[in-house]
Amino acid sequence: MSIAVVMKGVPMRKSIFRGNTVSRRGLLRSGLVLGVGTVAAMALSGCGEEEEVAAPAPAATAAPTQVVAATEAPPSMEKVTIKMWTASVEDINPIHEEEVANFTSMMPNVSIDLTLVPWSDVQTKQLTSLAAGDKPDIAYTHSELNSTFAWRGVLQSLDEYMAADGDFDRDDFFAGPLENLSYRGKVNGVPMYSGPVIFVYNREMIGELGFDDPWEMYQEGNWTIDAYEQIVRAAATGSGADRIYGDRELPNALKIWWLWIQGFDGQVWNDKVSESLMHEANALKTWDWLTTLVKDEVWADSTVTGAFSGGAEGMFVSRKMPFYTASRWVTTNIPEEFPAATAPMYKMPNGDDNGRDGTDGVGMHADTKHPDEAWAVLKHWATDVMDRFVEIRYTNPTRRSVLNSPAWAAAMATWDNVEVHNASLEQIRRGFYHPPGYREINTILKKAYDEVKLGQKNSADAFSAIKPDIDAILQESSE
Amino acid sequence: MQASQVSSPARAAPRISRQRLKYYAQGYAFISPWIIGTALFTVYPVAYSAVLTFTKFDLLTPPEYIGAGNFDRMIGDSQFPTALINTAYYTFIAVPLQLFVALIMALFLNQQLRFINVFRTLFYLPTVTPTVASVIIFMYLYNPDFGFFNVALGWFGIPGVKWLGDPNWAKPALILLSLWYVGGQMVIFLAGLQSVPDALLEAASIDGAGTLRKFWHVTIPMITPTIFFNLVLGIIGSFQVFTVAFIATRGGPIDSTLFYVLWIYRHAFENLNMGYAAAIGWVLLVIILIFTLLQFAISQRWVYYEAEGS
Repeated sequence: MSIAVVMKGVPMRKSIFRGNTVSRRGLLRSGLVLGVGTVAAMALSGCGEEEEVAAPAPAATAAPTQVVAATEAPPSMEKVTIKMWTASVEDINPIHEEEVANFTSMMPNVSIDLTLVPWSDVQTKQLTSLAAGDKPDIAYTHSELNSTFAWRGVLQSLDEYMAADGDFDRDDFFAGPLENLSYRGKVNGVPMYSGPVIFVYNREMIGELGFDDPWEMYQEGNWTIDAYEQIVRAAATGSGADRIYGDRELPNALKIWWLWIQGFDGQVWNDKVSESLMHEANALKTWDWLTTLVKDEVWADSTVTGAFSGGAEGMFVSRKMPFYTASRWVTTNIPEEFPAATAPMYKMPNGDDNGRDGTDGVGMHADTKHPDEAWAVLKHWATDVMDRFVEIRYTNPTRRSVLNSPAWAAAMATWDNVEVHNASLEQIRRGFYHPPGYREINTILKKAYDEVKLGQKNSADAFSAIKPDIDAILQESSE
Repeated sequence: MQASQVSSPARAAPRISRQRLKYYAQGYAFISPWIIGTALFTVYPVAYSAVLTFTKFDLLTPPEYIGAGNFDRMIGDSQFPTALINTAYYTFIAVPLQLFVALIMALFLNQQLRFINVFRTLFYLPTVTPTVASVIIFMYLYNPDFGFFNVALGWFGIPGVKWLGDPNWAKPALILLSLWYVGGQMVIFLAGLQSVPDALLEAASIDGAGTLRKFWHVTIPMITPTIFFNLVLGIIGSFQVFTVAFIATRGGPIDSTLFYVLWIYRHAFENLNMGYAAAIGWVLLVIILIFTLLQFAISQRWVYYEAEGS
C-alpha cells in the first residue's frame, strides 16, 4: 500500500509529502522530530520503568515455623519454588547450577529458580527488579548495601533461624563476615564470599632492594606500616615506560580506607552514626598519609593501574611494582611459577592490625512465602556450596572448621601460603558500619580525596567541606 | 469526509461504511504491535517518570509525594551546574570538532580511487566497534606512563600529561576519544556530498572557480541540510554522553567529567534517589528541546533546501 493511499482523505497542511514524494526538508525535519522524541523518551524511560514497589516490611521477622535441614524430610510435600538471585562469576557458575539440582534431589518438593547476574551489575539489576515488584525469596546482598536492604525492610533477620536450627553452627563462622552482613545487631545475610586484605609481593624485587621478607617480618612481629612504607618508597624509581611503583593506590572506597582511618586512631562516624568524624585531626593523618604516597608517585594512581592491561594485577605480574595490595580472588592471574608471596595486614601506627573483608552474601526477603524452605537453601549455600567455592580458590573459608580441611590447604597457588590466609581471616573485624546511603557518601568522599591528592585543597579544608553533605545522609537513616 | 455521509439537520454522528471500518481496522491491526509497544515501553514509562519527579523514591519503598521538592533540591545542588557546564563544554567543543573531522573524512572518501569502498569500510569500522572495548583501548593509550599519547609527545620533547587523571585534561581526552566514532556522521556527509549536482560544480569551474572556491560556494551551501542534520543529532547525542565517562573516569577526577546523564545514573542507581533522578531527566529533556527548537529557528537563515528553492 502506498503512502498516498494511506493518506487519502486526510488533510495534510504543510505536509512533508508532496504528492507521492517526500521533500528533503520534510524528511530531515521529521527525522529530527522523531530523534528528539525518541531521545526524550529514552532519557526519561530509563528513570521511570518502575511500576510496583516493594511494600515496606518489618526488618525483623517472626520466628521460623519449622526449620528444615537440607538432609531432612520437608515439613510438607507442598511443591515450592524458591527464587534466588545471586552474583554470577564465571568460575563458580557451574557449581551454582549443579547445586540447584543437588538441592532438589535432597528436598524433592523444593525447586530453585536461580538467577545469576554478572557481579558488576547485580546490585543495580536487583534494585530495579525489586522496584518492579519482582521479589526473590533469596536475594544477593553485600556489606555495602546490606544496611540499606535491612533498613528498608527488604531483608529479614536470620538470627532466629540460626538459633532454631540445630544443624547450623553459628559459632563456627568467623565473626567479621557475619557482622558485615548485619544491621543494628541482626544478621541479614549468610556470607558467600570472603577475601580479607592481603599483601601480595614479589620476593625477588624486595630481596633485590635489600629488605627482609614481609611474611618473615610478620612472624617476627616487625611487619609494620613503617616497614611497608620503607619498601614501597625504595621501590619507586624510574620514569616513563621504565617507571616502577611501590604498590597501587588503595581502591577508592571508604570501605577500604576506614582501616587506615582507625589505624591512625581516627573515627569514621560518631557512635550514633549520625555524624561524620573524618575531618578530625587523627582522620586527617590518614588522608595525608594516603594521598602523599600517590602525590609522591610511590603508589600508582588508579588512572595508571586502570589503564594498564590486566589492571594492577597486570602491573604486578609485569614487575612494575613489588607489592599488590589485594584480596584473594584478584590474584588468579598470577602465574604459578611467579616469585610471589603473601603477607597479612601490617601493624598500623596505633598497633592494630585489623583486616577488612568485602563480604558478599545472600539473605532472605522479608516477604518470602516460604521462609523455612528459603532458610534451608540459604544454609546449604552458606555451608556445603561455600566449601566447593573454597576448593576452587574462589573464596577464603567463612567457617573455622574448614581451616583444618585438606581441601583448603590444597586450594593454594604454589606461591601462596595457607598460614597467611588463616592469619588474615583472624584479623577481620567489622570496625566500620556501612550506613544506608553509603554509596552516595563514598562518591562525595572520593571528590574530597581527589582534591587533596591533586593538591587543590588541604585535607582539613576538603574533608570539612563535605561534612554537612555526609551528615545529612547519615541523619536520614539514623532518625 | 464526504458531505453525503453527514445526516442533516440533526447533526448525528457520521456513519462510516462497513468497508471503511474494515479498512481502518486492518490498518490499526498492522500497526498495533508498534502502538502497544510504544504505549507500554515508552509512553507509560515517560508518563510515570513525570509522576516520579514529584516524589521521593528509593526503589525499595513506595514513592512518597514531595511536591516540587526535587526541583527545589536541584536549584541548591552544587552538582547541577557542574554537570551542566561539563556537558555543555563537551557538547560545544566535541560536536563542531566531530562535524569538521567527519566532513574532512567524507571529502577524502568521496574521491574516485581504487578500493575506495574498502577505505570507506575501514573508516566506518570504529563506529560498529563496541564502545566499551574502544574506551578501554583509549584508556591504555592515555596511560600517563606507558600510554602511546605521552610516548608520542615525548618524541617531540613535549612533557606528557595525566590525561584522565588530571581535571584539566580529562574532558579534552574524552572529546578526543569521541572522534573515534564519527563514522556515522561521515557516512551522512558522504551521502550529502554525492547529492551535490555535478552541473553546479561544472558551471562554477567554467566560471573560473578553483577547488576551494567551489567547495566554499557550491558544496557547502548544497550540503547545509546534511550539516544541520548532523549538528542537531550530534548535540542531542552529546548532551546524553554517558558511556565513555562511566567507563573511563566515573565522573572524576573531582567531578571534571561528571556529565549530566552520568549524574542522573548516579542518583537513580547508586544513590537510590529515583525521584530526584527523574526530575533531573525531565530538566534535560527541556534543555535539549530548547536547543533543538533554537537550532530550527536559526536554521532558516543558513540551511538551503534545493528542492524548495529557499
